[in-house]
Amino acid sequence: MLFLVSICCILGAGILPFFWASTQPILSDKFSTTMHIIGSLSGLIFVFIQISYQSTIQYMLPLQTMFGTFSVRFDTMSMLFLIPIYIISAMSSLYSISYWPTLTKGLSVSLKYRLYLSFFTLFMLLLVIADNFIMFLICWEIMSLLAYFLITIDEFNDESQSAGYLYIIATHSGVIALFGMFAILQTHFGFYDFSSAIGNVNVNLDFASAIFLLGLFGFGIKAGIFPLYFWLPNAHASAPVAVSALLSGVMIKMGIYGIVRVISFFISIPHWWGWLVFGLGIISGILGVVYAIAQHDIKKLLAYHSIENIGIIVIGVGLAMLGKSYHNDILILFGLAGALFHIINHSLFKPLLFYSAGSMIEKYHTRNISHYGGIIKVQPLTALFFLIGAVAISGLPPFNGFASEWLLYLGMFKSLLSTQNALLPVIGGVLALSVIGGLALACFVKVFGISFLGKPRHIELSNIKESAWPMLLPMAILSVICFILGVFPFVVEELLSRIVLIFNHQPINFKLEAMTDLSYAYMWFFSLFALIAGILFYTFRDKIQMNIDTWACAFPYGSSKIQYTPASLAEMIMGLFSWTLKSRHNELSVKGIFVKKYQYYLHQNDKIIYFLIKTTDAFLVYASKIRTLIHNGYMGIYVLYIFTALIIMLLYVGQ
Amino acid sequence: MNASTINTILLLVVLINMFIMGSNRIITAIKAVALQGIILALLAFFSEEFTTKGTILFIIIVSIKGFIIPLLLIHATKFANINQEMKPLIGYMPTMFIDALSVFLSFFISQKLPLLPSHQETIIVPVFFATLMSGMILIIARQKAITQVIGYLMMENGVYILSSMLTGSVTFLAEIGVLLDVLAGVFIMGIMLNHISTTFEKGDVGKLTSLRE
Repeated sequence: MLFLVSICCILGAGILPFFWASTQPILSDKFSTTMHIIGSLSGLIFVFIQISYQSTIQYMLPLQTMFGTFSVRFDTMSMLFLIPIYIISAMSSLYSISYWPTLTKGLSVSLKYRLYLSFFTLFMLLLVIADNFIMFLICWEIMSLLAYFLITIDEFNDESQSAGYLYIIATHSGVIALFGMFAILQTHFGFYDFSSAIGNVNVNLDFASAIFLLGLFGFGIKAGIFPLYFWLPNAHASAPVAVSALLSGVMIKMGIYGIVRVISFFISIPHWWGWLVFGLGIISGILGVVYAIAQHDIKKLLAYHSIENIGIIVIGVGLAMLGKSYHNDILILFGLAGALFHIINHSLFKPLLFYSAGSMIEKYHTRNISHYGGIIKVQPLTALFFLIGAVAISGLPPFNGFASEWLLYLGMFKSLLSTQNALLPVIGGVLALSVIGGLALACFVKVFGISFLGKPRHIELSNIKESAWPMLLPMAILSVICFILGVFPFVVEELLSRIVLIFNHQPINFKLEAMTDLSYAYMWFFSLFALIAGILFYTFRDKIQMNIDTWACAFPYGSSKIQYTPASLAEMIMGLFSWTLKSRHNELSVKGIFVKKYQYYLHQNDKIIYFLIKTTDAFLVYASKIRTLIHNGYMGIYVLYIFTALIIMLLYVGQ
Repeated sequence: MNASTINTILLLVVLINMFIMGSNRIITAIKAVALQGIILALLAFFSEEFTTKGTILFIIIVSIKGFIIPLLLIHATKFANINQEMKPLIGYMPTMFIDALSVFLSFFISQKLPLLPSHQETIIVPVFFATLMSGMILIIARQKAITQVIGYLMMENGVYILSSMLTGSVTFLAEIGVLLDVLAGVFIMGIMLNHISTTFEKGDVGKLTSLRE
């Protein structure tokens, strides 16, 4: 019942502005947001009740097709994915009150925006509870299309239009693969819904690997796994911020949802599947963060961090698969629990970062961080929330990013000690995770240092005030949830272990006992920290000087021109990874003894996307050349084709 | 008529095919196709028993294939002021060689086909294939629009070999229908030739490449 209420409220949030917005635009925005939040709250209450009762609900909808009856099913995994959808969509709706007000953005585009936002939420909700394959595919397709409409909502922005075009190509190639996968499941195995297929597909039959590979491709495009992430940076960068938060925080997780569902079909898993997923996770994690450091566009940077975090999640999924194929229970438990927990965590701190980035973009009308500087002086709250998000995404305690990465680390180390099959190459995952964590930290040192500290470079800071409360409130809520989940991660412990049962089909002997230890450790750490900080503050309280410039290197008369730039800050790390980057730089030659003017320009970009685009381009040019050769307009040639076909048919008949 | 006489006359048809492949004047090719049509009609008429229906069909076929269509085509070439040259895409000798290969191929194919024993002693089926392929080769290897009409006429002759010789006089209605189709086709092609020649100055199908897509 509560679920129906939540669906109706979210639907109302999209439709009701049509009646009000023309006469009372401000009120209609607030009303729509209120409806959305009420819907989300009732939905969350429903989810928590279901989780605490540990019940699985299944409804058959009165809609019979030739591919089985439409049905919905609320199991533990659906519940887990419902939580971020509800939270982040409500936050985006709230954020849009001041980010996308009907008054300034125009009536029709705001109506569309609210409508798409509510329907996007709705179909993601239906997607994770859909049990029937065809219903799942329909929801998947509508969700993808609505994401396209949201990305391209600004009709006059060429950048977002082309990003949307790339996105729609990518997502439809994924959908084709998914159609193929579900068709194989229906025709060769006779399954029409998830609940009957779970744990019932024999991996030794033909087409089992085809199902896995098609699923990995179709869902991997949505999730943004290497090398299928090519649509992701542009789409996330050019969408409105509230939408980017939803896309990055929630929509790409649907891909992971699909992958986990598909893998849970199989009774046993061949070794190479696990190694493939594990390897892809490591590559997308490391490359994602490297490209993020190279970026100077703050939204693109955050988008590359999504790829990195998807990489971490996929490493976890890969560990679980390896554990299943090598019969190592610890890897299954910790890998999948870590991956799922990281899904929740990433869907909290990534929107937080996007919202705070949006609060800057809104003020300074540029996304280039090399223009920012010193923003902490005028927007201290935004800076605080960005810092919290940055700490969380870098996987540092005490925020939630650490908790989930800690689970993965722990799983990998414990699996080596376990009496079951220990896999030494898993250590590679430990190395990759630590490299990713370190690079992410470096990246956010760069972003935070360049944009919030120091002096403004190309922006005007006077007359800038802190953002309005509808923008700050979602950030505050998300920061608090990040902190709570970071300090008390044991609240999700039981939920995660129950989902692992769905994946493993049989009980696991071990328990996730790591979380409470973490909380105790934090308790000691905090009290110690408070004590030391108190003593230090008391001793040095007279000597604390607050008005020092950050990048001045103790030079008192600093100007904005002698600060670090993002490129110089990232230069050393970029040097290490220069083989993955396509860089372009030009330098104005220095003349004379007293240099009047010096200019250095460095642009580094993603070599993988460049390579993919180049290859596709060359292939298309070649294909169109062949096509012109075949279809050349000369009549005799067409008769020749008919003639050849005739002779081939005659020879075929003659056999 | 016994099988060897029929085979000899059918070989004549194949020779006419080769002759058309090698001829470099349009009017010669038109006359050769007309001759081929008349020979085939005579062959069909004498190989069957004598009936009224057969006689009517024979008269109609000879008049249409032997006189009306060639006269129409000759008139069209003169009216549209088309040059007598064939304008080959593939030279005359190579075309003849390809045609010889196609004869070989048609014998090969018809050996593989499951034919009735009574049809196996004559070379009706291979000659049908050979004539059909010759028509197609002519369409492919020559550039002018009017040679394509000649190619279609050759293909029609090929179809006529099969329909008249294998099925006998039962095909009266069908044959009349096909003839009417061919006649209408030649009419339309004549009109088209006229228009093509006024638009592109010469009845050259190569110029039609600009019409693709």
